[in-house]
Amino acid sequence: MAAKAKHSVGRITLRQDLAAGLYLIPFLIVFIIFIGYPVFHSFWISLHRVTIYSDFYDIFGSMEMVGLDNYRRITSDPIFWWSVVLTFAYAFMTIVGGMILSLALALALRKAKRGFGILRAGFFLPNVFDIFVVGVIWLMLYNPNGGLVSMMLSLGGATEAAQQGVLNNPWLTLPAIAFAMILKNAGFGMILFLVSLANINESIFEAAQVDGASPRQTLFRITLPQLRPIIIFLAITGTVGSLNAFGEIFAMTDATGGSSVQVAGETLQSARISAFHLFMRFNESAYGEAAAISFVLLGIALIISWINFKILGQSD
Amino acid sequence: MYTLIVLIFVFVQLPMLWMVVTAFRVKGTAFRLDMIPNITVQTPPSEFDPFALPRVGQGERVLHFEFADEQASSVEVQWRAGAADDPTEAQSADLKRALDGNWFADVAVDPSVFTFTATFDYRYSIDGGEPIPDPRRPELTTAEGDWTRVVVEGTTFGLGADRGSDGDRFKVYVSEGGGGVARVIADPGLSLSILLGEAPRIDLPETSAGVYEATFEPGGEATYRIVRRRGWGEAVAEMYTLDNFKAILGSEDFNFGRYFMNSLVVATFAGLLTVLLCTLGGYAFAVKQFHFREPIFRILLASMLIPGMIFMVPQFSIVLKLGWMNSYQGMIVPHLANVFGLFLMRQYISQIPGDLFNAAEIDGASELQLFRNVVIPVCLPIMATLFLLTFVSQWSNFLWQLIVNTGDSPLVTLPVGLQQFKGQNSNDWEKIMAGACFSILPITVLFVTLQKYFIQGLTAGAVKE
Repeated sequence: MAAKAKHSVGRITLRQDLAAGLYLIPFLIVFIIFIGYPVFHSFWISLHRVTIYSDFYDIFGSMEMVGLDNYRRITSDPIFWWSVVLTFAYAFMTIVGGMILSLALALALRKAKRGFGILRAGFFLPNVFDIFVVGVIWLMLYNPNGGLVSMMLSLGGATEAAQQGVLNNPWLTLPAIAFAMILKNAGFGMILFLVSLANINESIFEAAQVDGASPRQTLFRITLPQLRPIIIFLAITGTVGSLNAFGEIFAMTDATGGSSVQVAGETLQSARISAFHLFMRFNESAYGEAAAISFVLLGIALIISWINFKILGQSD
Repeated sequence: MYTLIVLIFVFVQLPMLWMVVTAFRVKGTAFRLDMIPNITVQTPPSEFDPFALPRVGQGERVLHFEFADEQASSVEVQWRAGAADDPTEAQSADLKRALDGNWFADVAVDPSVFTFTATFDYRYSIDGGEPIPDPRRPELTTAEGDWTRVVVEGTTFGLGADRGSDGDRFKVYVSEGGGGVARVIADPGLSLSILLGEAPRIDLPETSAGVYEATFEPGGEATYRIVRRRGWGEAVAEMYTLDNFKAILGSEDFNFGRYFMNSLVVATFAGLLTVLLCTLGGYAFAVKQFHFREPIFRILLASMLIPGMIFMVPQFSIVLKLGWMNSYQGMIVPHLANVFGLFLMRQYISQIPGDLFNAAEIDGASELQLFRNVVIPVCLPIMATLFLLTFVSQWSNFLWQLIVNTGDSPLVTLPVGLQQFKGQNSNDWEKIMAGACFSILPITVLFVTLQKYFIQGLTAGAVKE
């Protein structure tokens, strides 16, 4: 993973530090001011109870040190753990679904044929569109009164789901959002797979063919192992994306977090995944708790990325 | 196989197609599924008014009067026949109240008094007051101003009409066994036809300007509707319009040009500066040797995992302290330290063969020359990619730009400006979608232009992961 420096080996001199520093300083200054300091500030806030948004120009005017109280509250909050569970479900759906679709598209469009260029560009284009805009459009498509998807569902016989509206059904909300996001993001994975496929040496496939390997064997024994770096990349970016998934939930549940559902005696919301839960707390001006949540999430994210890495194997 | 690909393709493009179509739709119709304009419409009764036409049954002649007044408690009609210089004695009848607030009366008349080719006067008296001419037909008011004068033409009238229960149907009474004439007065030049119960459509040719007539011969009682055929222009105009775009471009309180320029400035400068910082930083991490290189890089990478929301309030208080509210730098600078961009740049630069640097050094290139003449040209694809990605994310950045601009800021960007079409209770979807079309336009143009670099850069950065 780590790229080795190309030249100059041996002891690092002060002069080299200075030379590198010149390149790094602009980035690091902005990073430290606008990301590094806010992280520490957030951690500091996470140890406080900050509830009253009294003065616009002095947001943190009323802080009360509470130690690890916020963290204790989070870990015993069923809503938080529910949001974590939902995040995992969402990550699983988007990563697996997205990978299958983008790999299928890449395999289908790998040959250079007329019109394929347009198809590839077309599959990719939705990627660059604003998530809020796309979310709102899907909201319209899923609308029970005249939304296109609802129309298709009722034509396909799922009248009940169509009349209720897919996004109003607690069990379908998150899959429906995941479905929309898979379609939106499939082009990204497709491009990565396409280039990776092009880089596989053609002679490997020829050899497999000579040995009489079935297409299925070729796919699982040759193609997929060759694509492992991309799969790892997509799994990690997918995890990070799911942990940060806010825009799509916000847009497609109309900022509510989805309809309510009863689980183990608790009233929980069907699409309140972690990032959205964080937003809700934030929106309630519970900055201390929101900050604490983000650090718990960071811990989870670090662990998952590490596991991802271990399971899927070190590459390069 | 190919059908499946095309099907998925359509599904992937669906949101965009839907957006464009919605942007052209008439206000309030965003959720209607009928997209194909209909050139035949069933006309509402008021438009064609088959009432107030005299009708005949077998051996009798009936006048049908109708008057709309929801307030009145009684309406009386007075009528007389014959030429103006020698009218018959005026007769009167009380109108009955229909459910919908209309008053009506069917009055049988003596055929010997009322001939068909004749002048015929009538007027109404409401609540017993002073008689007034028919307010619906002011152009037919007599010179004295107190009667409505109708010149009745033709020889037979077989059609009588009552408003049916569902609004756009009429009940027809025609004489037993006898034929009838359907007669409708409407705008000239239309194409009209009548659907008579189960019977086939009867086209009504225009007999004189605005008068449509046809004979038909059903027996007994039947229902009919009048079907009007109209041109495509009118049909399309009923469903689609350019008004949404006009509202966005030409509204006084929605300064589109200003918002668009602000977005353009913010996204462009954010893109350029991010590329600059990340290229410099990525170069250092890829090529240079320095203390704590790997730990620093790991910390930077780990920061990507933190949900971005949590930076928002501390960043806001920093911007506040720097006095950067309502300023371009307040919108641009906080997002310049793009770690993902740094990562992309480092991956890309670390793939450049070391020989390239060595050769340049042997040629006596200075550090600056090396960077400018070797690194930048080789990195153009990934720089274009990063520019595009940053441009896109800052172009559509909504929350932050909402926060750093107060309500009266002249630097409001397009996504923030478009919010004004989102109402408290109802959203003006058609206008929002028209705005979305505009906001997606520059991104599409940029993507199509930079597509080649983009795909090249993206893959090179990631494959080597």
